[in-house]
Amino acid sequence: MTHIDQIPEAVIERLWREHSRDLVRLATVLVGSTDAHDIVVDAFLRAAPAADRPMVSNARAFLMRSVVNRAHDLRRSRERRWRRDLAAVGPASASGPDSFVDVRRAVSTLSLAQRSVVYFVYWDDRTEVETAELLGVSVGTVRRHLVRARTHLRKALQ
Amino acid sequence: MNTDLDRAIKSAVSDIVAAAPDVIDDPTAVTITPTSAATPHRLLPAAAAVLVVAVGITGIALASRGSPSSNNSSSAERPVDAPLTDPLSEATLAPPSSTPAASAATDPTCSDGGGEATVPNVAGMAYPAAVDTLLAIGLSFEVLREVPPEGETATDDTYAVVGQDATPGDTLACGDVVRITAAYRPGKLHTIHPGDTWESIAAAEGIPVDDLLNFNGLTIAELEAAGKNIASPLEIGRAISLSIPQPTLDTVPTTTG
Repeated sequence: MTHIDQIPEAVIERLWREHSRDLVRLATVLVGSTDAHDIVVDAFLRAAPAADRPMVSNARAFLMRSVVNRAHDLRRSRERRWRRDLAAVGPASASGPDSFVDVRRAVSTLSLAQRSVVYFVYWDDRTEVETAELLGVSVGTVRRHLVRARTHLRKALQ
Repeated sequence: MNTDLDRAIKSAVSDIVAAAPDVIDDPTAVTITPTSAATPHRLLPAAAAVLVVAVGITGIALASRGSPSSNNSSSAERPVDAPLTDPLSEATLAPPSSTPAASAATDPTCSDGGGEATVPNVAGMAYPAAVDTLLAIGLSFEVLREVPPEGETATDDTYAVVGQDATPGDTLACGDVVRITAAYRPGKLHTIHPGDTWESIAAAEGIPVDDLLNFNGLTIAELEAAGKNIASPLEIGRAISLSIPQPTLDTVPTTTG
């Protein structure tokens, strides 16, 4: 396995500049803001050596998968804090309707798989097919996660 | 995606994303304490490697998204509907005296300390050169990449920038995002280096200069009509095709949601 030190610095810089912001956004939805940056850096340093290989035709998707996997790795030990971070009222909507705050709290109780799907569908505007390709799962799985997530979140609005 | 529930979810996710921490400049400068294996479980299959929203056969793919400054308005982060131009068309025909270095010497950049930078014209550049140009003056960027045909492997060097949302010459604050559109050029691309001319590149590549011009949608007559000739210097950093005629780029701004 290629080590990060064996990758040209320019490649690392380019990958990081090009993808890091979106990786951190995804990570924030998955694990909350406190741990987001750490898991992105960790995932990046582990995955970047492979991400720039010709066989990986989409480094971005590869890195995002790495972030999702890293979130799974840390899930058990950090889940309580993640939920707290995710449920925290963001500055952009501190004065927003209470129902939105409820939905945000409800998002924090979704499974990681459901959160990943919600991120790509609602933030990144991906279709179910595209989300399935990104996450390496079937369209049916994405649809099932999405239905369950929406059902869960609908209750937060009621 | 139009119900109250969908809007509420979208808003909630946007709020969570808004809390995303700033990104450090250098990931290798951070000390990470490994906890457990976190390598990707497997590579994406080639057909699934497109993270992006493909639109049409030669559609443009959304490969990156909005800036932190606009993180609560996902609709505002959609790709702009800016008209796209072929980088190798007459409109972007390399001017003989204009180089990135020359423009950088006269236009303000973030290194001047004024907090602003003049938007360069990166349309027509090879993708890596365009990115370097934007970053060098202190601007950020997002890229929409054309989806390569299934089974073909794309690298940064196979992309040429064909459009940008910010008007060249306009002033942006340091760190602002310029959205660029990169087209997949499956043939060989050559990035213009100092001293390159149509004539010298043709000679170096063993291609008749007429063919080289043709690959890039030009004729000698058109070149001369633009006040140039095959010995005129080309703009550094721009990309020209060495092997295939430039296709009509059927780019369609991404429509998602």
